[in-house]
Amino acid sequence: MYYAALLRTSVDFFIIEEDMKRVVLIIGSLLILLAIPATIFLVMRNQEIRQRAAPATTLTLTPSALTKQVGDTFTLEVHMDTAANQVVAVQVSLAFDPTKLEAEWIHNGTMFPNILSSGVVGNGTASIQVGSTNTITPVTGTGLVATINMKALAGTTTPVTVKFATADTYVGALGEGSTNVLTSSTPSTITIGGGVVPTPSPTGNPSDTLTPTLSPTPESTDSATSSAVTIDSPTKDESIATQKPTIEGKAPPGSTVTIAVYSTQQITATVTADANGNWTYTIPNALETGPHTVVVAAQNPTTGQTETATLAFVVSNGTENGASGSAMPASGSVEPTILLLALGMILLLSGALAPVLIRNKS
Amino acid sequence: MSILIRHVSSRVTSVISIVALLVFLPLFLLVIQQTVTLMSRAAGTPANIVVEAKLTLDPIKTDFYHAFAQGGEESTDMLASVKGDVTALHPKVIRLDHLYDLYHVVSRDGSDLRFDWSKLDQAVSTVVSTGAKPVLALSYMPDVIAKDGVISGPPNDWNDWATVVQKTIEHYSGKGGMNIPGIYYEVWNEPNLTQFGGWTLSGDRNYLTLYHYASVGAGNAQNVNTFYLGGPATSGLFVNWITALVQSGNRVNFFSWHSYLSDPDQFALDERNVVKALLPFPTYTLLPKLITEFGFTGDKSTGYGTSYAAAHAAAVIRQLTSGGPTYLFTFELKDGPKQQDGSGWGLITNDDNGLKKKPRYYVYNFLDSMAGTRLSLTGEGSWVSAYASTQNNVIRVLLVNFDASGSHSENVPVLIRGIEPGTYTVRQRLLLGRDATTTIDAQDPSINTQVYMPPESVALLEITKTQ
Repeated sequence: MYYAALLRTSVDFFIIEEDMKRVVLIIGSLLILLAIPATIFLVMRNQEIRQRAAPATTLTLTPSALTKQVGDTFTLEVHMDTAANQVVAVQVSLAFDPTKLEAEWIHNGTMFPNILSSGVVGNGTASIQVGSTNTITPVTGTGLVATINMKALAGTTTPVTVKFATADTYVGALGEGSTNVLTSSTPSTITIGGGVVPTPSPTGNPSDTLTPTLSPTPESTDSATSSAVTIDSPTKDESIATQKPTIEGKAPPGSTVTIAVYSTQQITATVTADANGNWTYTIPNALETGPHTVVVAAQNPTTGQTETATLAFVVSNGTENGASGSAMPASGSVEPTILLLALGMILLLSGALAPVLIRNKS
Repeated sequence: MSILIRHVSSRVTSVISIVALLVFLPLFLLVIQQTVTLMSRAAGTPANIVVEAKLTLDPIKTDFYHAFAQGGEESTDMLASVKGDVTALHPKVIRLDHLYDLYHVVSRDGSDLRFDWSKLDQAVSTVVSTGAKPVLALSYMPDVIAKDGVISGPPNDWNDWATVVQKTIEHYSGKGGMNIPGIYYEVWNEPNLTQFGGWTLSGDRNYLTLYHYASVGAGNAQNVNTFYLGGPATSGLFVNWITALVQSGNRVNFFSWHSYLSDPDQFALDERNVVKALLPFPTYTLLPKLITEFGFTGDKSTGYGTSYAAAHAAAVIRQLTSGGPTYLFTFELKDGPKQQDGSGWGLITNDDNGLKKKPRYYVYNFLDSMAGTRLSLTGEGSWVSAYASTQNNVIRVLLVNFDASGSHSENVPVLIRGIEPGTYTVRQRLLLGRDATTTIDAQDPSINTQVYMPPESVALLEITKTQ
């Protein structure tokens, strides 16, 4: 009797111990399942913090927009804001349409007195490598990196862009390892008059088109003194928090205003100025954060000439420091997604294990 | 042909046709290549120089090309007999190699290494007496420590190599030795070449191992002045060797390579490429870069005895005046013996050939006239390159006509813009040639003149306002 009771107790104990093992196993599995997304979350968060902490060096070509005549020579300046980076070496590579522009020379600016390799101009390219005097005194702050002298070769229907060749432009800084600390660059657009006769847009109705090429509508003949066409909003180099900004301005009453926004993809549209000469256009597709250039053109009914206005602005995605915030990833939806996924996995696992537990119990 | 067809089988005809094709095809290709070369040469761009007198840029560097290398032509103090001529070149640095095989520095006494510096000291002392700093290429492996006695290969014990390097640095840079500050120690010479060991970046003959133990020796050197350790001294610019050295984690104070290239533009391209390769390594990007040997060919050539070599050197220096290396070493100062045919690399012939100065000898001091502030210059052509400077109100333009074929001459228009109207003297000097001065009354703020450039010539234009 005693032995029978002892045997039953022992069997019960083993059954309980078996159940306990299962419970421990399940809890362990659940902890692992929770730990995986939690680890991913923490790693991502660390990366974000790291990215947020990395200072954002920027390069800007000034002036951001110019109007020139065929045969004119002009100078563009490459400016740098190192942010908090300690910059020791910079490779600037510029690219442009060689049928419209020719680079005559590129020289270093005052910010980097140490020329690492001399400036080279080629067919549609200009580049130079400069550095700080030594690694003990790296360069910080803002200043002139390089100066480039260019010549306008041919008239343009749309402004030509002088931009940084991103794959070949590099900023090296101490303490940042092999990271290219350049986070954004601002190009310059050149409108060259004297080569192309403008064609007024045939339609008076507002229309939007999204085109990937730099071909269609805005005319850009000579109009350095244009007053008939203006862009009143946004203002020059304004940092805008919305990705679908409204562009407003003035043009001759009733005239067709052609708008071109130069982004990764060019947006072109036409609107009609009202009886008071006001026109407005809201960009329908979200612009990426960073610098953009808008060019508007309309025909002056008095002179018959097409006049243009150009303006650069920055979509800041709500960050205070405009373009420099553009490289930061949006993180708002990551945490709840991971938590939901983890919860879902727990529920799935519970559902799968429940029948086993119930069967064992019974 | 019809007779051939009639009397010979078609099979034989086919064979003859194929043979004829095989013979004529390369000839045909050769003719096409020659035609293309001639056409492209004819289609080159003549220079049309425009100098902006008011657009001043960086200071013109003149020190960097006062660097010279002496190869191991003789097992003696080769520069002793030309010390005066070398001193007149105002050398900043002079490189010596073959330290351990020519000067018999290392011997073994049982398990100990013994060092006899007497022969090498003479050579180094001569270098120092010319006003130059020595640059010592740590080469080759002393035979007493070399595996199988092969001096281009690794040692039996790497620690012996480290000791040799340590003792060398302590002797020349040591405060208790020759006490010379600022010596560059270059690890080996052209390690990639078979005759110098055929070292690679892996395996038994891994240059990084050779370099590592050299850096261990450098680290062990006691009571020494500042010195620099670097490499890889390859026979050309191999950026993978440079970056491998960076990533090896060893002490690296400078990078070095050799350039034997006929195209002067390639020197500037090399400079860009090495900087580009180093951009991801910011603490290394600004380290000194030394082209420790240069010339238009690594082979012996009679061209080294002519104005061809002089024009090539000037054209290379023009390419590197802005953003060039820390030092550009002309190879070499003095011919070896038995080179009466003039094919030696030297700037000066050997003792057995009269110690005569060759045209290239005169380039360096001639170019020193360009010291000053660089002026913006455009309009260089396919053959004529140029740079401009200003100093003490004198504008100078250096023109080099270098043609790889050796035949091109050109009348080069030179426009100086942005000057004050007035009377100017324009002096034209050709390296080893004419020296003529004219007066120009400039009514406009510009001077327009022309310079005739014979084949392989170097000209200096000096514009001075007199009234």
